[in-house]
Amino acid sequence: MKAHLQALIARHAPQCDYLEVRIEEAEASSIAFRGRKLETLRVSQGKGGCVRAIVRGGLGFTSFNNIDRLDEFIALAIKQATLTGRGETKLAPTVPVVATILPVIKTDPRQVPLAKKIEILDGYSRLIMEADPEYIPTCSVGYSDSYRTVRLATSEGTFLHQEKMDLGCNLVPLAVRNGQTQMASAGIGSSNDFNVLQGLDTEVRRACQTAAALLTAPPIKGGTYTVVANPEMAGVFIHEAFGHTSEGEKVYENARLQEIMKLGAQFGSPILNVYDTGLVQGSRGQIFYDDEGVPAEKTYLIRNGLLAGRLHSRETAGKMGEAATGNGRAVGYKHPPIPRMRVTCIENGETPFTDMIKDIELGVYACDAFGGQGGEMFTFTAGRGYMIRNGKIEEMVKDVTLSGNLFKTLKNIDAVGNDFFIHETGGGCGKGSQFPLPVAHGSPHIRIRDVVVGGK
Amino acid sequence: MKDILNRAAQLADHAEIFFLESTSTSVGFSSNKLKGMDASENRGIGIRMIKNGRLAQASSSNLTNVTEFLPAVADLCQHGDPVRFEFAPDAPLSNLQLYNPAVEQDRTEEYVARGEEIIRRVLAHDPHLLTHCGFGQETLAVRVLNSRGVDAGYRKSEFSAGVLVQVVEGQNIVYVHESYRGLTPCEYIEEMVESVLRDSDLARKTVACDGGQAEVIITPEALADILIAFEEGISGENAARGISPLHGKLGEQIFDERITIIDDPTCAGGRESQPFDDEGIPSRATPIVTRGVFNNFITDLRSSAELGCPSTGNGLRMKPLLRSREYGAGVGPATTNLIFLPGDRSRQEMIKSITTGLIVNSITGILLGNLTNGDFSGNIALGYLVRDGQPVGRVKDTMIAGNIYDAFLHKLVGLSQERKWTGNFGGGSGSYLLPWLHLRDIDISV
Repeated sequence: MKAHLQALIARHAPQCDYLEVRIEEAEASSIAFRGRKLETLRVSQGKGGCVRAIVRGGLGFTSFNNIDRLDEFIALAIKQATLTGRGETKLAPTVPVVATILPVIKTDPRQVPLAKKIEILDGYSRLIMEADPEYIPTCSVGYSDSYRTVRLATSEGTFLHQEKMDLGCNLVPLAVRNGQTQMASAGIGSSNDFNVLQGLDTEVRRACQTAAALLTAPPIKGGTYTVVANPEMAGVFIHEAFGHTSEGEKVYENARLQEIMKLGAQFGSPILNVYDTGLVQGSRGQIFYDDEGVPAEKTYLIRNGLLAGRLHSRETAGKMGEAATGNGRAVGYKHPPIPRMRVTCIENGETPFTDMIKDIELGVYACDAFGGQGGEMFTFTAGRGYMIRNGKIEEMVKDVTLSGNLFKTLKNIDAVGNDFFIHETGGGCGKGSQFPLPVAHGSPHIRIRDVVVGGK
Repeated sequence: MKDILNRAAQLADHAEIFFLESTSTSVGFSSNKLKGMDASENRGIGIRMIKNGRLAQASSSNLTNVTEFLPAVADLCQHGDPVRFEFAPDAPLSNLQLYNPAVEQDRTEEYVARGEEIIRRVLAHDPHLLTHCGFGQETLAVRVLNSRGVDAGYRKSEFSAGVLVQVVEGQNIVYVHESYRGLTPCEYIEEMVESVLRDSDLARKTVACDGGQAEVIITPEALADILIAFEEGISGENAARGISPLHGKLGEQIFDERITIIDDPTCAGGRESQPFDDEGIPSRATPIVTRGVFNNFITDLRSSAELGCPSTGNGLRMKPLLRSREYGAGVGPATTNLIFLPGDRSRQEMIKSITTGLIVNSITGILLGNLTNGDFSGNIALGYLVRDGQPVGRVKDTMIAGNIYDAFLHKLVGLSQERKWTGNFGGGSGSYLLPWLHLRDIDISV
């Protein structure tokens, strides 16, 4: 395979400024329960490839399953790039690498018998269904694992063979009462250990309690509040709102954002540090090299409150005259690499949780997150919320949807907790049609002043 | 394909093969510049096998060695849950014209010229605007075979065009866009550009808006996204699980009597039209809500068996959230072309009748609410304040919150005569023919 790819690239490379071929093989399995019923049992295998050619700044991209026709698809990508190229190719430099990267796996899901996987998930399904039969009539229990082998060959001499394992699991009780449905979720993910799936009973029970309690919780009254976000919620916030806005092409394509996002600009108080890293062992967001062959690193985005970096593919870094950061990722062979996150974190601070809430007269404790959307203007929904009154966590409220302007909100972070952890979930990050990409996020508790909370 | 089915049928009691092949090309412009071109040829199969009454599923894009993979799939069946449904029986299919041979032409040069023309037109209107636009065409080939004798296929052509303009004004950045997806080449590009330019003029001016309960006009684009929550409610799968708010409400008045909704996979011009669903069930129109009365859940084979009714032919293999067709995705009930019957007022009359209110064009965060419950909430990504019957400017930092089962029953002021074909998330997926919807007493917070 290696000699074949290198020979093809050598033959076509003279017709373009840059040429890369990615060939991927993947196998995956997924299991899903609805209530006590095993509803999905699926295995898949796939093989495909893609070609990216750049000529005078113009991009040609072809993707295909039929790898026997690779030569033809390379020629087509070069033809497309030639038709569109009218400027200059600017790719940030990277040192060509020839390497084979195999993951160090503790427990390989491919070695775990299917019956065993089903037994573990069946156990969680039973746990949920027996937790509160009156109000929790059903649940979704979903699990999937995959193993991908990706070969990358470029006209600059890179030949990279990387294998990646990924698994994720979501355990979601659904509570129903008087036509109202509420849910909560427990989840886990890993890139090196099947056994993270075991021992989640406490998290699952808590999710059941949350889902049932949300049925009777009143909706929050809309308004502007001081919000304390738990690590899960803060992690989703930094991923959704700031992480996506830090993606190179968002800044590059937006003159005003370039103005705002000048490196060194004040983005928050000096206690705020934010980074994105590919180096977290075992995390779903761990990568050794990105899909352009750039080594992964820990990239500071905000350091001591000042903008310190952004997330780049070679293309966006080249256009902005900055260094590639190892964030050029593709969800699979049907897509080109674009700036994506890995593990995005607010760094640990110093404020204990009790100190964070003690002076709040009226505020919201926003916990967990269903997910989020948006960049500069963001919206996301907490999985559960509690009112904070006179320094104490009080009653549970539902429909806690936070929204606002990213830059204002970052500046309004006035306390960063000392209880950092990385949250691995069974979901994934979506950008355009590239979904789901394995990522993770981490944070301690944070406090934000003046957040618009929607509600009735 | 027949060989794969035969091999699968030998290994199990029943087998089904779903084949999907997509060939597409597109041209994209980004930030006023020609960015690049894409071409893809992807195909694969979804496999379902039933052995001793138990089901397993698989998918493969490696069609050269898929038969070697089948014994492992048959083996999976022993772990599966008992199934209550059978694969589709062979049945006559309607003849729908879904393929336009124009899709075979290489229109690259035309697309490049059109894109450049759009950028020139936008820059002539305002040199500060940034335009992103794109054109694409795709051919889909679908084939369903099963061991009960179904062997049917169709080809479909699809054309798309989109124009998105980024408006920057002081601290504000707004995106206004129009998009088209249809079975025939787009003939509305000039109208789309003019509409985007009109919106960009209006979006440039930010106006303050008060919180509280307000009259709102929901555009077809925003309505399509709000309807995702309704689609959760009418899903036969959610009904079978007992988590749909519409569970037990067949025949009841759930919406205002002016609302009639049909799912119609057979309608001419509908982007999701098809002669049969991904399980091989012939397509037919299904009334969902007739004059406010709830008629039908939409079902696939599995959920119809659980509900004890025949499948409505809505069994589709859709990738969750993205709502795009994929051979490897599981089958579940999904809408095809979701159609609202028109109302009796013109869109202009509706806007003119508002003293103070909002026009809501798009909502960010719509998927983050409690969809099963019918909630719609989020930030108004693009919306205009209406004063004395006139849109006067864009609102920002404004949130909308409501529930369709409350709003469509108690808070409907009217529906427009005009309707528009649109999709979810700016037109990218799903297929809807929708009017502008006028609601009152909707919660707005600032």
